[in-house]
Amino acid sequence: MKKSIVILAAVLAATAAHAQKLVIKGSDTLGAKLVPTLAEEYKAQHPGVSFEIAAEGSTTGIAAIIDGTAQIGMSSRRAKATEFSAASAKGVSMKPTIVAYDGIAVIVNEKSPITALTKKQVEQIFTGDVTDFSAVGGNAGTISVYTRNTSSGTYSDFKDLAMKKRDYAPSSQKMAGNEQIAAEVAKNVNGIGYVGLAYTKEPGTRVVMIDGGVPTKESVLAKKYPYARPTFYYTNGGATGEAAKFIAFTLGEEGQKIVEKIGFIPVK
Amino acid sequence: MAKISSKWLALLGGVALGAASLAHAQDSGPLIDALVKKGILNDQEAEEIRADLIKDFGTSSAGKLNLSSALTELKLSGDARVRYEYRAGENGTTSDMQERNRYRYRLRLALTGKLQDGWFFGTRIEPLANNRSTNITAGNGVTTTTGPFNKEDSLALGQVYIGREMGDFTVTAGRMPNPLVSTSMVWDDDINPEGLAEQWKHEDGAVTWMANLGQFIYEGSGTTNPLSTATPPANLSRQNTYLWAVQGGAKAKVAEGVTVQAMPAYYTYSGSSTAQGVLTTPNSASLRPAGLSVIDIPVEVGFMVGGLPAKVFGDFAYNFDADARARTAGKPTFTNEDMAYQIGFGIGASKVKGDWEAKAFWQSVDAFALDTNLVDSDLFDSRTNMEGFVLQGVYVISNGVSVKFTYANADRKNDGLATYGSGDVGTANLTHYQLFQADLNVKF
Repeated sequence: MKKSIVILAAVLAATAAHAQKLVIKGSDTLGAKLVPTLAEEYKAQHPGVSFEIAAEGSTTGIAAIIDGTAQIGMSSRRAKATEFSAASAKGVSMKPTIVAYDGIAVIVNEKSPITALTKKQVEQIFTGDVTDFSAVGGNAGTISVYTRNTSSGTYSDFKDLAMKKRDYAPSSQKMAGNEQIAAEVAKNVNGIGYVGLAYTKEPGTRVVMIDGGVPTKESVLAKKYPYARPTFYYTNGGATGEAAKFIAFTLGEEGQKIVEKIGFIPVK
Repeated sequence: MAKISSKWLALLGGVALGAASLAHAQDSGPLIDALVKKGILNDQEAEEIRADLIKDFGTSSAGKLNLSSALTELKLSGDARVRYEYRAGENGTTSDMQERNRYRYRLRLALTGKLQDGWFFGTRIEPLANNRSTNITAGNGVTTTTGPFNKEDSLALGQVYIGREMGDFTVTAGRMPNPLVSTSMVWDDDINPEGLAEQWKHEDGAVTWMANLGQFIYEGSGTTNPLSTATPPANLSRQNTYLWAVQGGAKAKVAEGVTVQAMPAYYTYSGSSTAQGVLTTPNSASLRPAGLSVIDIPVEVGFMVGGLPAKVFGDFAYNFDADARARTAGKPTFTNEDMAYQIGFGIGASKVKGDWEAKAFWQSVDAFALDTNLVDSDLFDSRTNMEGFVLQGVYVISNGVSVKFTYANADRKNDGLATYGSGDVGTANLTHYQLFQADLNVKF
């Protein structure tokens, strides 16, 4: 009898080890392409590890760390003071790890004559101070502004970096992800939006120069591109177990190659 | 490890120098960025320090506040005052004298804020709903049933306004601080008019041009067309009463240390509410702007005396409709009761610890020259048909803390008429009046 129990326990333990599941939630910027690719490669090297990835915005990733419903929270923005307070209240110590750099690119329809804008013009367009492309050197036409939704880190990063923290134009249309913004801009000759670097090659769109510069590896790393930003994994304190291994993989040579391949800027 | 320690030391030193308190944790971003730029920290180290600082800030009182991102500035301010007051008046009919010794206090708490695109708002909580007094009188709440130390105070919204600044123009709506340049002769400074105001201020070299417009709701008539209580046209005559103000002038620097300001204003009223009723009870402040069409010219000349700022100031007002007001009061033969003036001298300033300021002025107001509902309620007991002098002195004993002494002494100007207005002294025939106030003020 004793022997049977020991065998059963060993089998259960072995099954549990093989069924290791990593829950990762948060940023669409990271979670739509980069993290799933990293996860596939990681799974190939670590059979038995499974992933649950939900890319519904950075706010959801940070909330998942606070609530303990994910081991890794993806975020394209820094956690806010109120989020740190909420975490502390629950005994959670949020730790950021920079996994890649990104530049938020402003995109227009490929048929648009707009090739360059100043930072001021970008602020005016996205806040609704300017509503017609003729005011910024384009053809006459009412501007359609496409933004991310409010749970997106890119949504709040862009407000901070490009709009002096002002509110978006009331007429702006909020999209669920980078790909949706790119798709809408590609369909609308008067459309303008913003996407992470990994989404700048979408057909039908073109990246606009900002104050004479475009987001490149060099301009982002040198912090010369005005809308450059780091992207993060958030964990509860130092990561342990499979989460720690996956973070190490992301930051390792293989992981950073994937980062670059997807279109982000590697940290090393 | 030693390298990391030195980085932390460098950062902590920088934080200690530049941002000594937790409240400044959020301000340390540029410092961290500078350390990254200089290669003292790498991005990951900077991020961890930034997170630690935000975490610490989050546990502080300030870090728990969650303010709207639309705000660019939020300010909590106010003042508290305790006062001793002696007020005495002689009744010309009975030769009797009434005296009051009062110990009073007040607190006013304001929350003001600025938003993007020039928008702003303000609120101020004050004790009491009285438009010309925010003082609570100690002991006044006592009745036979309540016992000592009963509270008579309540809370009222003294100011609630929203506005927008657009370059030289400012538009304000709501119950607001008085936007007009005036003196205590015409406007009690406790009054916060309700309605709309437009202001324009433009600097042109040594001259600052100013214009102020006010459309104030003097009295609301409630339902303007009540159901079944009256038939036209009687019910249609129920309208709000409005006070309209137009003011324009300038402040000019005419020589080194010498400025001249003149801000003529014109006040008129419209509407046919009960407020336009007959002026039969002169000692009541019930609403009656009948017969008022007033031009008011406040003037101030500023200069330096022995290194101290000094000023000669004055105010002249004339009511074009004074005769109509006299008729409304049942005194049609008193046809020259139409003028008011104030002239005085002030020296000093009351801004920082050790500052002092002294002021003296003479004031003379004809019976039908001004709106008795607006004049200062303390100095001449809210009355017209009075003339006399006022002495005031202020000393700042600590930054934000000051003592102020006021003495006023006035006599009835025309013994053939009542002293119109709603005063604290219970007579319509106030022949002699004295006021002494000693205030301890705290401003924050």
